[in-house]
Amino acid sequence: MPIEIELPQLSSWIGPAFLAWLSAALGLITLCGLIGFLWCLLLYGRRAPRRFWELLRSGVIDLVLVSPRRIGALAWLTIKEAFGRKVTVVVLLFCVSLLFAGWFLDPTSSEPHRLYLNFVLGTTNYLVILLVIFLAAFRLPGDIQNKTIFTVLTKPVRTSEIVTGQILGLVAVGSFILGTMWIISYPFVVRGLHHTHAVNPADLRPLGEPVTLPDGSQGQALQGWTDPTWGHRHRFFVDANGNPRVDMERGHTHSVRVEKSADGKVTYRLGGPEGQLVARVPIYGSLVFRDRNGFDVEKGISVGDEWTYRSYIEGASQAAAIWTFKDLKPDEFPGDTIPIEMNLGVFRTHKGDIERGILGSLSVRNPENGLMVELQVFESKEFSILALDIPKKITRFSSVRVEPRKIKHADGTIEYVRLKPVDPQVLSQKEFDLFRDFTSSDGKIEIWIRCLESGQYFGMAKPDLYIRAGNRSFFLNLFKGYLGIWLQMVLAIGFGVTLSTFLGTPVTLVSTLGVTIAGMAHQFMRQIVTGELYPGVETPARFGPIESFIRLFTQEGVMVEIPRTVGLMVARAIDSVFLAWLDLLSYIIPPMDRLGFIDFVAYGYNVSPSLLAVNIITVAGYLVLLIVAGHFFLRSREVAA
Amino acid sequence: MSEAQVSPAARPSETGQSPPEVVIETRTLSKVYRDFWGRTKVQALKALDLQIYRGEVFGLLGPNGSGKTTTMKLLLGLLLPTSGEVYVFGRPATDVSKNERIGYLPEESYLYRFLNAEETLDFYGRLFNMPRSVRRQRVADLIEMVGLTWAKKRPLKEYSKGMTRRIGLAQALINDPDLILLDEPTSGLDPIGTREMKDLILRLRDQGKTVVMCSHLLADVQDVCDRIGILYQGELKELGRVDQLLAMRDVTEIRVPRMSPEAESEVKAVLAKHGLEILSWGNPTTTLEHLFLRIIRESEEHPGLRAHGRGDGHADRN
Repeated sequence: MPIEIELPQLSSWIGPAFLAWLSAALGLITLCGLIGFLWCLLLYGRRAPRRFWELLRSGVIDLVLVSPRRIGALAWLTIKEAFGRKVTVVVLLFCVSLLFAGWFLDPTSSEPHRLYLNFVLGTTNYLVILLVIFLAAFRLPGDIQNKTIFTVLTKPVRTSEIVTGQILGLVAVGSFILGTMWIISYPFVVRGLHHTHAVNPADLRPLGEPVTLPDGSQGQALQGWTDPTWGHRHRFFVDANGNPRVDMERGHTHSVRVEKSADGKVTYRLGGPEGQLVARVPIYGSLVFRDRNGFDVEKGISVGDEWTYRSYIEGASQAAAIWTFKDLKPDEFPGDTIPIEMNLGVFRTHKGDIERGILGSLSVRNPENGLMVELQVFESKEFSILALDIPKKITRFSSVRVEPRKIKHADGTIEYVRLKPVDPQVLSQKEFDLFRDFTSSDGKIEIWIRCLESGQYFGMAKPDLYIRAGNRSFFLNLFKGYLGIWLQMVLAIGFGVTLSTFLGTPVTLVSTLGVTIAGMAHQFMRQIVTGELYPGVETPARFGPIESFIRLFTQEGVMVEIPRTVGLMVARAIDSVFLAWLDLLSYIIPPMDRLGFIDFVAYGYNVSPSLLAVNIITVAGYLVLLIVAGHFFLRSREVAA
Repeated sequence: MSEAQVSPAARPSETGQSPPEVVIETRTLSKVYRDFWGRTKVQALKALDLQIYRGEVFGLLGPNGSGKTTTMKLLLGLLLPTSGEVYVFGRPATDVSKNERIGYLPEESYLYRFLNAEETLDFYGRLFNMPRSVRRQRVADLIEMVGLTWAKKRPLKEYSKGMTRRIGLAQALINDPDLILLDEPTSGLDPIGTREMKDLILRLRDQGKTVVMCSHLLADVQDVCDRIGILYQGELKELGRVDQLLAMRDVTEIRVPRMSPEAESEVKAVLAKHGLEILSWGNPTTTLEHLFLRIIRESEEHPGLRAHGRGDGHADRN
């Protein structure tokens, strides 16, 4: 899975997230209240408490007594003005960029679909967000500068309505543009990736011996290659019955139609690519590790690579990675197998045959009684997704046993996980049923991965192995990709409009751009602050900008201790202030990088409803606070001063 | 609304007499403009005490920078007072709900130039939460009233200044307000437009509405205002009824039609007998506004009539 972060589940996320939101809201209200009171004190002296109370009271009333009709009118005005400013030019710009995209999008690359999707989604992202930031930065300050705001504020209009109306108007404009781009980009991607191959029947070679078919005729399996198109070709098979099949290559295959002429000549017609634009539905499990001595541990071992978020297991030892999946139901998987996909990291302590992958084994275990079988041995290469199938009826297996799990406590005592007894006859069965024999009564099943080669290691994190529950519509997934951009856009608008309630156009523009860029790099910002590249994975050091600059200038690596001079101490003191400030900032600035789904769409993963809901609620939470803040900022501002 | 926030003047009289309803009240209202560092830039208004009653046309006079517009903005809640209090309809000026009964025409018609007249009025109607059917009727009536039916579909950016003022006035009246605040209402209008604006102000007063206007065009104020306040350097220098303030009690003016030379001699003799000095004697002149309006009216009645390029002595006595 290319998404190297923990994906939140709505049910477990909502409670803590709400509490965090509530505490942030209370903190913000307290801070703003304090600033507001000091401001009143400065302006009104002894009358400050009364003035502050009046402002607060009427401010809260105005926040509640809003009229949808007024908000609608203000949103309509914003839309009208935006279209008056010719925002549709952005759509034209997008179309022009698509027209020239053929010059630089290389369909012969190894993953052209990723290239195309990254291009259309990335272009849309930058264009739309830049557009709405500009619109938001000019909207309210423009009204104040032109004094048109006078004729609005002298009507019974609440400032909360102005802020909400403008946000809604800009969101409507952005949605229209995004929707248009979505509609345009879908055929662009599909048609751009469309290709086919030709197969010359004369080039097909016999595969194996001829076989006698049920009707008594002789059949011969054939194999060969399609002709190369866009830098690749597919292996082509025809079984003894004459049914053709095209092998998967570069993430896609092709449908084949067999045409027979009157003289019995066979022609194979290949269709467009299939399986390239998909939306896989992954089911994730939880991950624990077993160390080389057979004890359960939270993490595997570190191989000294500070840039990875994976934990490693040692080859040819008891070490294993154990994924536990919950609530798997047979009817979710219509075929005879349950497909799994994994993307394991490989760390070699000796080179071996570099062309060959490292061998590993896949086992399933019932967490209730410990019954375990090894299903297959696989070969894993780094940077490639390996697809395996777990049969529902297990007939080929090895090493049937009851595998206990144990934990070693800090005081040295060993605790075994209690298991239900297994009927000894089960151990001699020749066939197992995955759901009957390996699924616990509460619907859990364990998948174990081991590295089989001594001196080699497999690295993994939770999202690296998942069960593929099927595919969803790519069209809808592309829509979700645009929905991710829409969520980022809504936040950019929210910040733009709120900042514009107390800042002028140029400062609003720069501030909103700053918030958006910082939001897009939110994870990086947190990494700098916490010194962790990934949750739980620490960097060797946590430096601020000055010490980093000193190390850059003196060419000292991050692992090198530099002399603790007074200068260094001063630099570190200043850095600690900077890091504290950055820490605070990282809680205020929204994690906009997590809102987007471009990687999901480009890598062919379905955006789950749970993740979608989490992101929508996150944006709504920010938006509520932004509207409240914008309302009070605008209300306390003398627009006519 | 809490008791503390109701203007005392808006409360029923304790004596049982019903005083004129106070629509606007300011109490030691002051406004200081400060720079970024909080230093005083200018004291725009100094301790203004003012009461404006229902049904009157009140004029705020003063030279540029005297504090007229600042007062207007304080009344509208667009500015916050540095000290003192402002009440409109008995509510603090910062209370948004007071705007339900207010119409405001700013000095320049600050309107959205990309909207046409219909859209403009419909938009402001929606801000008053008016239902669609009511809005539609009101918009049509107001556009007709200001004489812009022929241009109602044209965007305001194509309007002349006079047309913009008219649509600005229409937006100020969209909610049929009880209090109309007009900042330099005749600015940018031609004499006909000025006359129509003044007639409208008087009509509004006759309907029982309160009009507050500020202007430095003294003739306009004199024509329509019942009471005036004169501001200078942020201080209220004079306040009272126009007719009382302008009356010259130690000078007598007699106007008679077509006085004969004999009668003129006799009158002069009588005045001399009583030892009265004649300050001026002659034919009164009309205002340029009256002359202009008469010529336009006659031109409309008799197209083709040419000017003679001389005064004909037929000044309108009205």
